[in-house]
Amino acid sequence: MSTKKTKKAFGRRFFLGGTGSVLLGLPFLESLMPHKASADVDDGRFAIFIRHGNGVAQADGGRAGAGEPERFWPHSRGALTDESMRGRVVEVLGGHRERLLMVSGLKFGFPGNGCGHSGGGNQCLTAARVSDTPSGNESLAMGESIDNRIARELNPGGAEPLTLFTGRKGSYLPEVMSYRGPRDLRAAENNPQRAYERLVGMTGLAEEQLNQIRARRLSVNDLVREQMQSLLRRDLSISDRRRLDLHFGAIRDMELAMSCRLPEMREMEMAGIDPLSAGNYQELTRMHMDIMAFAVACGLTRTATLQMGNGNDGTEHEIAEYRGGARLPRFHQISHRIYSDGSDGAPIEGAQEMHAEIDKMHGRLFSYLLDRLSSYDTPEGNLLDCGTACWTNDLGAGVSHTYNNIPFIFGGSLGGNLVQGQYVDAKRDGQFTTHNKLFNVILSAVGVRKSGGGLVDNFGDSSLETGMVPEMIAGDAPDF
Amino acid sequence: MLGCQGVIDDPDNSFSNDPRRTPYDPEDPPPPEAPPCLVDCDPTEPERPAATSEFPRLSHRQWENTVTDLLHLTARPGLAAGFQDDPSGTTFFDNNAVVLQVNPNLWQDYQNAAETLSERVAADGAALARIRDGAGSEREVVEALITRTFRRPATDAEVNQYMMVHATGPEHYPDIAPNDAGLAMVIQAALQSPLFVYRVESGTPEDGVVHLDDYQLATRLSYMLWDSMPDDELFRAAAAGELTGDGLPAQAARMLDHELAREKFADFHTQVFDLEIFDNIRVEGASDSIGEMMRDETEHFLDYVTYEQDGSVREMLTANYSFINDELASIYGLSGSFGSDLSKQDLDPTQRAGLLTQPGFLASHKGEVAPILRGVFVNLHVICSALPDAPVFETPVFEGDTRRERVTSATTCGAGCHDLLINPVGFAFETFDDDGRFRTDDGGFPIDAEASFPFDEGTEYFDGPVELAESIASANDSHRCYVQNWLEFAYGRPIQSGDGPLVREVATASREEELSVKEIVIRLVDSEIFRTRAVQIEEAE
Repeated sequence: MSTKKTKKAFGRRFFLGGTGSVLLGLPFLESLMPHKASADVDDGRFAIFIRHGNGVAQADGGRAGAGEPERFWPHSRGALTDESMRGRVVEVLGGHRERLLMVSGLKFGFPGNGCGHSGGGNQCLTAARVSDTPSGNESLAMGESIDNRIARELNPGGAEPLTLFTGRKGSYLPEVMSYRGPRDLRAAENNPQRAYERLVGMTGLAEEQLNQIRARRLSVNDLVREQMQSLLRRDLSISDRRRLDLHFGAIRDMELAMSCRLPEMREMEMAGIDPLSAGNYQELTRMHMDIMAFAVACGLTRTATLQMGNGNDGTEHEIAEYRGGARLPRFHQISHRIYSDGSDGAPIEGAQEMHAEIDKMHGRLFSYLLDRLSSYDTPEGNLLDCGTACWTNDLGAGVSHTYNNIPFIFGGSLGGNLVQGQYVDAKRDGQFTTHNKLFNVILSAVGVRKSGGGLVDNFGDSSLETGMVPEMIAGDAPDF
Repeated sequence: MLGCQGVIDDPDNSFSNDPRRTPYDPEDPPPPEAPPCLVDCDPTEPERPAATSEFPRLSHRQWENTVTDLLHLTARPGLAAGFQDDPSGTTFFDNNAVVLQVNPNLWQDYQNAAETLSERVAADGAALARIRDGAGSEREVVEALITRTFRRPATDAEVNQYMMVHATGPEHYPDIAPNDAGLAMVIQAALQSPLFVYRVESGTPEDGVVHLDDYQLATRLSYMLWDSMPDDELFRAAAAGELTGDGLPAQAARMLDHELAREKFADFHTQVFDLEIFDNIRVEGASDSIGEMMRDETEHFLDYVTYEQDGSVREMLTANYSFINDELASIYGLSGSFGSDLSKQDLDPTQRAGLLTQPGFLASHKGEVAPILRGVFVNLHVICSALPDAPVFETPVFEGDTRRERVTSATTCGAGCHDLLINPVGFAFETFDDDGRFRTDDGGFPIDAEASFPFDEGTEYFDGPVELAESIASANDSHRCYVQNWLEFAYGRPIQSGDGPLVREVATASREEELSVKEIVIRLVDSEIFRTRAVQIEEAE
């Protein structure tokens, strides 16, 4: 395995450039006080998670899925090559091959409670148990999600993580991913314009007006910052220091928000799109991805999630690259291979192939996200190298609804901490490894630490075995 | 779910969220025979300065009042109404400095409000003239404005900084006169300054205690009584060094005559007695505004007692009069014509006594579990009992002919929760129906309003609401509770153990000397705790 470690020392703030299409950060930002970080590193590392539902078209050895061939993963483990990816879903990620890390052999630690999709969604980013009550499609996670952990420890002022959603939320099983804590599910925003407005504060202003406001605020903020600094004495009480730190961070964040914008044309497109139309699914997803990349590039958040489709996504997809863009049956029914959301129904001809094509569509969208992140330049390299984006699912495969072999595909080395260009197996002695260990790697690499100061090895439910997935880590030992 | 402490059918879960309650587990050891002590539990504990932040932030009300006074506006601008809501923390009040912070959302609100207000002023010649009144040069205008913004004399260096901001005015607002544009920029910067947003109470500690200087005392006093910045007279007294001397209570007495102080008293009573929920009261056959009338009645009554009559806590709890109009009169069972405006009317002293027998309180705590809701409210807000958390009963059993019997059958958790503290108080109000009307029977069955309560100094027996009101007014508990709540509201922070002797002293005077409410407030000003701040000592992270 090629595991050459090439850590990068990023500056706290990026001087953004390249083709990222963000109006650039300003030099005065460098005078701002850095946030407290849990680790000694404070270099803007980030972790983004996107998920689609209904499992992937992988070999399904489970009861109902027995006999389905492998269509998703590469042909072989080890270095990713054109040859190993050819003909499989992941082939659509070939343009980023050298920056990918694919991890198989992972499972969720706990059974669901009456609804496979809900139980999977509950565990997907939490590694927590599924609630006894409520149950079924209303079940909830009994712990916080990884994005919440990152946000509360690394985000400016503990700001909420960016939580996005593509499509129409049905009432049966809408958002499933982001949890503040046990049974505390965070609502996701499915309107890109609203999500963007919350980040930047003001939209709909002409560039000239915006520049005027920006200039006035700069004049004022220079003085305000100086006054804040004069109050920040060494001998302040802890609570007063926290109070002023939060205030100081708020000033900086608003300056960042003011100085970072998506191109005016993209703002207009966001304002004009119907966020509930199934026909806009892919474009809405790309808009959300623009926002996620923009938000981490501008330092507005260190983590974001995007849930593509409902918990049991029933979108009737139209894929230009497949069957000339003809409308497909409901995705959830495709994943069951029958015209039914239950277990009885007429077979859907070519359902396995359709499922693989829907996976590919999501793979192309993931590739778009990696493109967006790569388009931002920093003095040390591009933005993608500073963080990582993860594409996952809340089921292993559709028919069996298995919690085994959940796909985790990463793009970006998280500051040189993740191996790149590899397909690795996390199994131990032939047994699946619980995915909390994968999150321990990501949390530690992004800069989160345990309360006592050590690397995180115990995320998720306390009954799960602690530790990491060493195959993911660049170098010989996890020192991050 | 049946909660044994009053959350049965508690639609807004108001009680289960009360921060003062202590955890209760049915597996815990047997509950105490009397309510646990919250404050002033050890009479030998000495009075101590309170450890507080040196950067208490303005509440939204304070921000609104302050910009009005600072810029000599003729009316409040109404901008703070759009600010992000603040939490209340562990007090009943919205000015608890422990939880008032400037997060990104509020900072955005502050920025927008500062820009909006400065541009309004710059476009209003009369407003600019008021700000410039009495000053000569533009520098003198800026110096005066910054001094008032910081609530202490601005230094030359600070004035220089703001003059530099002033100089940028024409660049940012090329379409208005240069000095007006400069002043607009100065106002924007002033309103976003941490020295404006926070009431800075820095100082050199001696043995861990900071003695506030005259300007800091003036600021504490004006925000305590007015929720706004000091006026010219208070600034003068601070400059003359009168406040660190014996001039503080005299200034307080003067300031209590101001309309802002009257508003502050009203705000206190609104928050401590939760009067806003009265607005939602509906009474069958009455107009939709009956709830607002009930709130008006109680607000009018409290203002009359505390301001017009210079009255006491006892008066508040036992007065047999209120302020009534035609519609309220029907609830009181009064005959005659009273008009649509409220007027003072004497009430039947065998039926009504003070605040707790007014329809607003009674009708905002109604329904099959009204005795529980009323009992919990009085315990928490009037007596300051520490109630345990609600245990859960799977299948509550409501059996009996009267509401009292049904509530008793459904609340079987014993002396630890309902039987000792909640139900007895609630049952005393059984002479009132859900709308606050006096009644002599409960569905044809006799009313039983007899009960007892373990006050600080012993158990008191009472029969009905009038005797209950007398018991509460005579007990130390209610005076201590009222003073404690005033202290939290006036000082803008939760009570601390070192406050015990001051609370005890003022509460004792309130009970034994029938101290007026105004005098209670003045005594809270004329104390060492008001004049000092202890350095916060916290565990390292």
